[in-house]
Formats: sequence, C-alpha cells, structure tokens
Amino acid sequence: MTTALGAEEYREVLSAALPEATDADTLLPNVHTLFTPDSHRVALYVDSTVVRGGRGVGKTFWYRSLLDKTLREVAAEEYGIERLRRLTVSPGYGVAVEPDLYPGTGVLRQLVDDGVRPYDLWYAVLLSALGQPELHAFPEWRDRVTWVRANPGAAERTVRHADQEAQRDGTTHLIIFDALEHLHRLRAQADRLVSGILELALAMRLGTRNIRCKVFIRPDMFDGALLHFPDASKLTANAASLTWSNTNLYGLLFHYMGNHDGEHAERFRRLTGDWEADAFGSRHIPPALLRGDERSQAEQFALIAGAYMGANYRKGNTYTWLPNHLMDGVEQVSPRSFLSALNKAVTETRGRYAGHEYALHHEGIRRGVQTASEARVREVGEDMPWVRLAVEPLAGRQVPIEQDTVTEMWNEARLVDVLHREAERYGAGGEEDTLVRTGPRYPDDPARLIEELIALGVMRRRRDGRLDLPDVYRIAFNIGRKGGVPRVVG
Amino acid sequence: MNLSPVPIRFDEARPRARAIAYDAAADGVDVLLVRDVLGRFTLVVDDRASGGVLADRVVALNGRLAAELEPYAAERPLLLASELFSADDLLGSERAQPDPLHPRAEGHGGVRLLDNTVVGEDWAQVSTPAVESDGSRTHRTALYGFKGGVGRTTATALLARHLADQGHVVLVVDLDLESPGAGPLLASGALLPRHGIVDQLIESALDNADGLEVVAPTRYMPRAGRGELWVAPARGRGSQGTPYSYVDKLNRVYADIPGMDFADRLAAAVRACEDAVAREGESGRRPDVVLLDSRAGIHDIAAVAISRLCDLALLFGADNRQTWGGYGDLFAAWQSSGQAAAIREKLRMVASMVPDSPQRPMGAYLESFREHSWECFSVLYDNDEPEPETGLLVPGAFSPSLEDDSAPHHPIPILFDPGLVGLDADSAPGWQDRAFVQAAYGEFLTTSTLLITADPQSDEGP
Repeated sequence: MTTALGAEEYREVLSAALPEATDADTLLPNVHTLFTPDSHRVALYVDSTVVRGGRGVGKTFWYRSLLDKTLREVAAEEYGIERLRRLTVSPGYGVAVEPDLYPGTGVLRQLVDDGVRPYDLWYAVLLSALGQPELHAFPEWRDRVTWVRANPGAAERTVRHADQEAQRDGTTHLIIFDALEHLHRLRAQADRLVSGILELALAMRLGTRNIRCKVFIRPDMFDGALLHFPDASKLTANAASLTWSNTNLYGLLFHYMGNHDGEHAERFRRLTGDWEADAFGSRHIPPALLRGDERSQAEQFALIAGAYMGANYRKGNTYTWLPNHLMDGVEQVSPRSFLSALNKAVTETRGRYAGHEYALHHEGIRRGVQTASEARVREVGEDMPWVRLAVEPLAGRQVPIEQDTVTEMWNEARLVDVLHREAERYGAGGEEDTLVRTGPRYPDDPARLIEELIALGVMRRRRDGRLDLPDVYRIAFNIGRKGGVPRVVG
Repeated sequence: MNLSPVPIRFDEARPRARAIAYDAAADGVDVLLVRDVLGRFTLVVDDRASGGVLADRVVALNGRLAAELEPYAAERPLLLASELFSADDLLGSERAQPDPLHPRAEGHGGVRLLDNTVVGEDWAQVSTPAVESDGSRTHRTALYGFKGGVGRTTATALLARHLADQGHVVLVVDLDLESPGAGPLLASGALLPRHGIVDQLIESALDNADGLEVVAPTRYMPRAGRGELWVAPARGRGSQGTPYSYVDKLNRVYADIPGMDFADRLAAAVRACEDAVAREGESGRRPDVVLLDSRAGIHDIAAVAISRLCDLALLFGADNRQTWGGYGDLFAAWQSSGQAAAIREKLRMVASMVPDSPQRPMGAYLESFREHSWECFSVLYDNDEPEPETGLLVPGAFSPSLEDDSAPHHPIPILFDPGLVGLDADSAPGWQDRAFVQAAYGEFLTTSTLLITADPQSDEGP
C-alpha cells in the first residue's frame, strides 16, 4: 500500500516534471518526455504528406523526433506503425542552419530575387538528399538549381534509382519540412515557396512508391498556399492535423509527472494504476485510463488541484476550466500553454497559498492562465508581428465589436502604413536573417485581414457578424468585454 | 426649455428623471427618485444635513422636472426632506436601491431609486435563503420557463427522482397555481394530500393552517439508500362530500395581509410544506432538496420563487425570439433595479427540447442558443472596461466569456424526444428508465444535481 502524495509532494513532482523552458526551440524531445497522443497517429503515417498545426502544438517536436532514430523507434512501437522503423529521413527545411541540406533564409531571398522557380529549388533539395553526386560538387544552391533545370533527365533517373533501391531494401526516403514561416518575410513569396514544396511532395507521392515528403505547416499557411497544380486537392483531402483534446493535454501532464526521476514520481506511478515500462526500458507509459479517460483524469486532477475553481461546482470544474480558458478562437489549446500555466500555478500556490490543502490553489491556476496568455501573445508577436500591430489599436475597446468599428480604428491608427513600414523594415535589414517572420497576406484589405486573424484563432466571429476575441488574447491586449453592470472601482 | 413636439412616453421618462437626479446630486446632497404606480416621478432632495438648498436651485429643478418629464412629473415633482412630515420613512425605505448606472462620484451626493408598483416588485428584491438554524442547508431550486410548454414539469419530475436516487430527501412544490401539473405527474399513483399550496395560503391568512395535510410521499422507490420523494401539489385532492373550489381560492391567494405581503405568504407556505415532511415522514428528516416548479411568464409567483425562495434558478428555454425577448425584459428589470450582482450567480440556463438530427445537429443549435443566451445575460454581467487613465483592465470582473462552460448563460441541454410528447405518466410506469429518456436527460440530470447540491456563493438571508 502506497500512501497518498501530500500537497507539497505533488508540488515537487510538478515543478520538477514540468519543463522550465516552454519554448519549443529550446525544448528538445527526448525519450523520457516523448508522449504519443492517439490523435497524432495519423500525422505520423509516412503517407500523410501535410500535417497542419498552429503555434506550439508540436510540429517541431515531431519534426525533430522523426529525425532521431531512437525516437522514431519509440513512436513506431507506441503507435504500431511499422513503416516508421524502415525510413531514411532527411530534413528538407527547418530552423537549423544546414547549408548543405537546404538553403538558409538569406540564400532563399537571393534565389527568389533571381526569379528561381520554387519547384526547381526544392527539387534540388530533394536530389541532394537522395545523394545526386553532381549536386554535391556545387556548394552554392544557385548552381545546384541551375544544374537541376539543365538536367531534367539525370534528375529523373536519380529519383527513379533511389526509389527502386529503397523498394529493394524495403525502406522509404522521407524528406521532412518544418518552420515554413521562416521561408520568406514577404507573404506572397513565402506562399510561392510553400506551393513549390507541396507540388514536389505530391509529385513524389503520385510518381514514386518509396520517396515521401512530410510538411509540417501552420493551417493559415497551408490554406494560403497556391495549390494551382493538378491533383492538388489530394493534399487537402489527406491532410492530417495536430490537435490536442482535453484528454490528450491531461495525458501529457500525467506522462510528464510519471516520467520524472525521483521517489515522488515513483509513488505517483504506483498510486495511479498499472504503468508499463516501454520496450526500450526508458519510459513509463501511463495506464489507458490516465491517458485518455476523461473521468479518471478528472478524478486524478482533482487530487492535485481540487475539483472546483472555488468553493464548489458553481464556481466551475477545474478539469475543464483550465483548457477552456486557454482555448483560442479555433478552439485549440497548445500543450505548451497548458504546461506553462500549470508551472506558474505551482509557483503561485507555493508563494501565496503554501498551506492550501491541494497542490494547486484555484487562484494560482487563474494566475497561471493569465501568465500563459501573456506568453501566448508574446509568441504570436514574435511569429507574426503584424498580429500585434493589428490588435493593439483595439486596446481600450470592448468586444463584441462591429467589424466597421474595427476598420475605423485601423484607419485612425493608419494600420496599412504601419504594416507596410514593418514589411520594409524587415525587407531592408540583412542582419536579422534568422528572424524572418510572415506578414499578413493582404495588408491593404481590412476585411481580409480580419479573416486572417479569425483563421489564426486570434479573433472569432459571432453569428450576428460581430467580432470577438478569445480571453487568451483579449485580456493580455487589455480589451474589455461589454456588460450591463458598471463597476464601482475602489 | 424646449418642449419636444413628440409626447414623452413611459420609457423615455426614467432616463430623463435619472439625469436630473444626477445633476441635483452633484450639489453634494443625497437624492431619492420615487416613481409612483402610474409611472410619475418625484425627486426627493435630502437637504437636512446641508442646511437647505438655495431657493432658485429649487425653482430650477422643479421647472426642469416638469418640463422634461411632462405627464411623467408628479404633481409636486420636487420635495425637500426638511419639509416632509415623515422623511425618514421614505428616505430610509429598504426598497430604495442605489442607481446602478450612476455610481456616486467624488463630492456628489448619492442617487437612489424607489419604484412603487402594484405587482412585480418582487423581481427587484433579490435575496438568497440563509442556512437553517441547525447549520444545515436546504437546497432550494426554482425551475422556471419564460414560455410554458418547454418540458419544464417533466424535467422537474425526472430530476426529483434522480435526486432521490442519490439519497436526498426531495420535496417538489408545485407553484404553477394557474395550471397545476407536477403533483399528479410525480405521485406515480400515490394518493395526493387532501390539501394543496392554495389551501395553505388561504388558511394561514386566517391563522387556521394547523392540521392541514399539504404534502404526501410519492410511490417512487429510490433505487438505493435513504432517499425519499415528496410532493406538495398546488391543488389538494379535497374531501369527499365537500366541493373543492380551486378557482375561488386562487382568486384570494395574491392579496397582501396585515404584516405580510404576498412574497412573505408564499415563503411561509413553502416552509410549512418543508416542516410537514419532517413531521409526517417516517424518517423525521427535513427535505434537503426542494424543487419549486414555478409558473411561466413574468408573474408574481415566479418573481418570488426566483428572487427570494431559491438559491438556484434553472431557466428553461428554446432558442427562439419569445424566449430571448422574455428573458431580456426580465434581466433588464433586474439590472435597472440594481439586482444584477445578487441574482446572476443564482441563475443557470437550460436548453430544453434540443434537436439532434443529421439535418439539425445539436452542436449548431446549442451554439446559436449560447450566443443568444450570452447576449441576454450580458446585461447582468460586469462591464469589463479598461480604465481610461491607464488603459488597463481591472482584474476581478464577473464577465464570463461566451465559451465559459460554468457561466450562467451556458446552456445545459435536454434533447427533444417525440416519445415524451403528451406523456401520460400514470399509464406508462417506469417511463423515466427508458433508454431514450435517460439519453435525452443524462447531462441535465448530472449537471443540475451538481449545481443544486453545491452551496450558493453568498448566503445573506432576507
């Protein structure tokens, strides 16, 4: 019989297990923390070419995991996808600087300025990955692309040869693409580059059996890509998505808690049912109920945070409250926000409510959600500075708000000029090459800007046409909400 | 002074009167704006502390009230407290409410409103029943629908049985006096008591209620545990040989009697029923859950049940214009009488008769319902507004988002099922156990039970 964990012991498990740095770029996947939500299985199929996912849902996580042989084995085992064991994986694009494998942002900009066809460019990347000997003689991508254009026959033979060889060996070449928002700062150019990748990916899927591409992409970038090539609809129809349901999020939390070294984590595992050691002996796999059963998860979470967001049920259910208040306009919660909210909740509870009967106090959770929202706004501001520029003029206002009012405020703030200046600022600078971010697709058209914000989950439209902001953005931007009762301050 | 060419109407009078009252208060004196039963306004200026108001100021205010309110100015539109015979009674009235739209400004006097009406005043007096003298809490829940015919009584019957199954002693009080129904539906064939709520109201007015038989146990057998299910019908079964004059009684229940207005009488009647359960039951336990099946519409019984008798009100509705128009009016009345903060956390919306077919999926229906509901409820929510000086939001607003699933506007769904239309409970024993009934009511039963058995967030008694 194992004694139940006390509040402070749970706090220790949580603060040790929850990742400190919540930025994916610094958080590398490792065998301990690799969590495999059921809903991501399809995304890992070798034949799933397009994998959509917003910021912080795990695109880079899976991109990096696929590049790592051990992690690939773990995923193959866990998801029961045998094909993942027989892969040769190469990066086709990513945030890491790999001038031999793919062009960096500076080179890309130059190639685009030179009028290179994106398809040829990515074809050159693919051929380099497949080991085209001639290409390796050219260190410069410009020369490689020129070679590809000049030698279509040789290129095709290389593809065919690689395909046959892979078939014979029973393997598949998988070229994976990530961080596409870094491709080009001009949205139109980024869209063209993305289209080139997708066209090539489709060509491989239709024309070969053992060469595949996998493209991790933000939904708005996929929707914006110009799919003007034959059979493009096949990509849309088979696109997979990285989404996180409430049970996935809590499954992740418990996975982290149970996969931490230390005595408390071990007790946590013993208290919560039959954890299994994975085939590699390096991870503990939570029992099915803890991974994916809402009720069991809610019961377990209630032991950590109390069942309610206050005195009782009328104040809200802690289990649903947390993801509910982190949800963006397209009803997505990023696991990063979720974990960082919990991390903050632990610190806050320790600081102010150390004597509380549960490891997390509901005020601590509220504070955690607020901090996670601020982080979310910061991240979006980094990815897409234009979003911040577009929403900031609305500060001080209240939602729901008429679209016309938004347009008016943008006119007053001269948003169109601001966005153009922003684009020019980036366009001019050469030193910020690693910071390339995508701008809006239609900076001059407020109606379409609003649609873009809606697609990103920053805004949402009510049925009566008015615009609303999910709390995760509204509060951090200091935008109010209309109500009938004036507040008496002081 | 410009006389408008268009005559001023009821709705225009109040904002104008408030504006004048607010100006008067700017002099640093407290004012009370009284509206009489015909809707006419009198402004009472409390000049007692300040040692009088300048004569030309009095003339000016008088003139403004008369000119701007036209027929809605009382005969003497301005009264000075120093000149009133019983100023304390008027200015000290508990029914006077601070103007919710005009919080007191620095250096200004306060503005309060006093609305004298014939009926409906109970909407503006919100309180939550306190805990019992022994420290226990009787959970009282009103079930109300602005429009009738939304399956409220059927839901009440199912909920009562579900709660009894959980081990609670449940009493259902049928307050739908104009169209009684919960009694027979719940009794499952048991004999109804000889008397009903109307008898309790009539007899207690003459101090003659001792020995009335107003509650009866139903024949429902809870599955396990010590649950009991009792019913207090609106209409009793009567005694043999004596005609039961329901309509004659009904005509007399709404009167105020010395020392007790209708609300007090109704509260006492409900309490008498609760006491009767403890007195007559084998277990001797008081009911710990009371369900008040309240009648529809903006009616005094509903007003008392929701504002005063319960700590939770489940508001039934379908997603249509009558529903939202009705609730909109009701919420506006709470808001303008300053009761929003007291009432809002007592309320929870129930979406009844929710369709769920491939043509009309439940999700889309509930989304539309939720938006309309939020729109209605938003008048009761705090106006969350960034401070003008700092541009920052002030934390702590009660301003739930559309998506907040614990907010009052968030609907608890009950699926529509044609199998329940026109159900005759007597000829369909065990109807509540049918799979389709359980499927239609599952979420409603679970969520309502959690809400009902949770203590209210504030418990100031009346």
